[in-house]
Amino acid sequence: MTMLKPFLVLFSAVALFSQASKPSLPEVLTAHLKNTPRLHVAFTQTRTLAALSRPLKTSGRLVLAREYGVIWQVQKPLNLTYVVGPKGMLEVGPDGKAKLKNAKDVPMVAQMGRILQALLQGRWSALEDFFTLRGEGTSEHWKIFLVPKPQTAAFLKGVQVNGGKFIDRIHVDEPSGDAMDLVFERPRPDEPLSDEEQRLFKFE
Amino acid sequence: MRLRAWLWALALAGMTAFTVWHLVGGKAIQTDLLDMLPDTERNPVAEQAVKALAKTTGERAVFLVRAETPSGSKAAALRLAEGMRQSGAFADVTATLPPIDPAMVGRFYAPYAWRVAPPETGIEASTEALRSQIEARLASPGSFSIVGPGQDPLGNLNAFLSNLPFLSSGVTLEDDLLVIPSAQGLYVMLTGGLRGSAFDPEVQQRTLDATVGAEKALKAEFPGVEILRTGGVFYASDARESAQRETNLISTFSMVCIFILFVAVFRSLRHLLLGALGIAAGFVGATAVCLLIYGKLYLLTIVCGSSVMGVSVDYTVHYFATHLGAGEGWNPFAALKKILPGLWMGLFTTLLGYAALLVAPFPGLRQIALFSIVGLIASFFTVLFILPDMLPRPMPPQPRFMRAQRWILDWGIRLSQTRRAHLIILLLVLLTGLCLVRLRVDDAVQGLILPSRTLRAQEARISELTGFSNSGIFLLVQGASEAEVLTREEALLDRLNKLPKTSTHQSFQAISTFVPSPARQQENLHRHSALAPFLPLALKAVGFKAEVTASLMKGLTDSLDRPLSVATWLETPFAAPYRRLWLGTASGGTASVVFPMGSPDSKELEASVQGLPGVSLVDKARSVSNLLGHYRHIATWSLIGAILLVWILLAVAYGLRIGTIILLPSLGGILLALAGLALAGIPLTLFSTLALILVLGYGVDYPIFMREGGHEDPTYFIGVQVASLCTLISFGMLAFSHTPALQGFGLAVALGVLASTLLSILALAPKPKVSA
Repeated sequence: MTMLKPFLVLFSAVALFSQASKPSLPEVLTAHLKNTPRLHVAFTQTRTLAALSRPLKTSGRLVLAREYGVIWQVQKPLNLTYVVGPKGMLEVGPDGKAKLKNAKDVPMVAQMGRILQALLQGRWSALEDFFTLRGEGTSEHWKIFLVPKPQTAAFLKGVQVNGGKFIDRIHVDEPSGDAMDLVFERPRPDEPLSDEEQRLFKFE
Repeated sequence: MRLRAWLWALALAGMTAFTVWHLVGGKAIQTDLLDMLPDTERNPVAEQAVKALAKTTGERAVFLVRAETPSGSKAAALRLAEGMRQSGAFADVTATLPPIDPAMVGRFYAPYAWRVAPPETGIEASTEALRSQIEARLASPGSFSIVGPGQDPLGNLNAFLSNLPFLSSGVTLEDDLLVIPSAQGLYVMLTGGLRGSAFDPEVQQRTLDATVGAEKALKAEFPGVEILRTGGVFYASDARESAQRETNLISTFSMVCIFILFVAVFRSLRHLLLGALGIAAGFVGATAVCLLIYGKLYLLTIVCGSSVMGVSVDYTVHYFATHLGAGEGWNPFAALKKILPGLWMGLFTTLLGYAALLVAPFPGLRQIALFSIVGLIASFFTVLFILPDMLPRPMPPQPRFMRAQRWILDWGIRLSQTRRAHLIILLLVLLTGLCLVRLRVDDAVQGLILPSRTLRAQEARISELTGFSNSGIFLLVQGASEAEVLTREEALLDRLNKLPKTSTHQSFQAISTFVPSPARQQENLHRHSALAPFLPLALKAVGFKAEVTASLMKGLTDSLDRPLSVATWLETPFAAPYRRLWLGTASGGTASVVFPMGSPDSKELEASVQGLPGVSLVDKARSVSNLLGHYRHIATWSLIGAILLVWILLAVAYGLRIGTIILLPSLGGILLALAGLALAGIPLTLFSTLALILVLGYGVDYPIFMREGGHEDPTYFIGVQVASLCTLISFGMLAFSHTPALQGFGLAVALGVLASTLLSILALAPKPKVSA
């Protein structure tokens, strides 16, 4: 997760402090995302890396709860869980060992949950200082293009998000030519949080 | 006029010309507080570090700009930078920064990856464990890292890079501007480099004018904009301005009061002008000699010095009083001869008080002492050489005034000889003594400077926002070589990072964070080498190409004899903000500095670094405070010594009994001064202790003169009254100074002089023998 930090630092500040002005086209198109209090969804991540002879596939599930945060659970090829909440981040490794990163020790991590949620909940204005945003389509079938501003360009070349009622797909191009594709499937907006999930969210 | 009168007048004219010529440039005033204080560190490297840091931080001014919207803040900051640049008062104005290119940082560290970044703690040396770490790195959500998986499959280098304190402490980059988000809005940071030293009055004036002008223009253009600023130049110019204001106020007010007094008592323009001559001679003589010896005058000297003239007028006053009392039988030279023994005695005891200050190894105090001594001597010489020639004719008699004075004197003597009066005095002494329990002692150096509230508030806000503190507290790490310094720094950081993270110390800036010690680099290499045999298989299992694996393994071999040195790191552009951390090799050793961010507690820090070799805490403010406390002890003992010395002197001159009685008024003065400080809540400091020494010096004069005059002649009594009133006015004014140290000093002298004047009538209590 530490590898995420340089990328997230860039978002953190503005995500917190930019005020919502009149809704932009991407906001209008994805208004529904914002009003989803809870979402369970399966994902498949495919990374195409120059260093690898074949693309690397991982899959798992994502739990998004507005009042708690995000659970990102990789299930294949190994078990790996990240829980991001207001207090910090919990990382549970393949061996079941939990590593806690306190919000006070690593303030950037504390803001990370809000950023991930901003992305997944379609609160685009929070990202406007780092990307030029462009949207097209209808609220049933939309595409949002995020073109990095100069300070973000060191990490990313471009991001494209597709969706309808929920997010379907996130595609990221890296400057090195590497790419990442995240496909979301089987969204279940009504499913309540399981005991296990509640326990994870309430980590101290 | 006699020859020596001409010679002295000529000398005074010469000194006046010299002083005016020096002061007109405005460069003769030293506002650097550090310069006034003695070296405090036993460690010369620490002293050198303190001075170098003061110089680098002192020569920049920092501004934070906030408008109503983030984009407004940015536009306003750029506009302010433009205005500052156009003024020409700044050598450079930094608003935009080329973004620190993370890719560049990554490229720099990549060849050293195996040395600087430790492997995951406790990782098992097996293909399976390595494979799982690589997969975890690639699977984590959105792991877009600075160094790609091809160069850093395990993610250790990225972990190291993301822990580097670039852009930490609340400051981030946005549109190439340094910005600080806060609950109130977005602040944008600008810095300006001065054209010269922050202590150069010309630089101060130009910088301040340009800043105020640019800020005004900005406020007109962006209503509601908030501008915060800080920097040594603003503090220095504030200190200089307030000292000048105070000096003007004190000298003007005491001058006016003294003139009114002269006019009321002597009723002659000639006396008024001659009185002014005496004061001016003292001031000019003192300034000229100090400038000649030191080249520069400290602010404190000028403020303190402006009060010395109230004392230097004493000798003139006593001579005038004789003139007043002489009537028709006035002979200027015979009169001088008559009062001369008393004047000499008075001068001698006062100078004794000041001479005690001369021996203190404290540049600021020494200059004040020299200034006062020369001023007093110059005034004394003026009385001795010029006054008799200027007052050839007797004064018109003022029988009513003399009768009134005689009546007061008789009444005072009668009163002082009653048993009841003695009882009342005894009771008062006891009461005053009781007040002393409330007396506090405070040696904090902050008493020497009290910058304006707005400046302090702005600095506090800026350091709260940016996390950069200007506390002057840091840790000095010394060693025989670069390797030893870095190793010691790491030991220090290991200990510091175990401290609970409180608001007083959040994090530390240290060079070993960027460049691990050779020992740690070796250890990292060693640990990686232990994992190396399993790595190719793990990489293959995840799907890494064979050539990527080969190049990684070659990197490990190559880095075996490619250590990362501080010199290599310092050459990179991203090291620029951290160059001050490395002091380099000086006087047979190498040294570096570790900075606590936030507002550190120096005592807590000192306790936590106890026992670490080569590490010392440097806190200039605390060292100076300790030193002031040390001198306060010395001054207290000097006071006791001086009392004994004066007592012996008086006993030899007047006999034990009379000598003791002459000493009593000044002891009473010292007591009242202490009680006054206690009641006013002003702590006892080095400066107020020194004031007590002066009280002794002045307080002894009055009974001596009373004694010389005796019961019948009110002339001396008039002299004592006028002289002590002048002292009271000029030192009393110091009590209104904004500088706490001067307040205590002024109040102590004023109260001491008041009490010893009132008590000096006691000296007449035993009738003098006919022979005396």
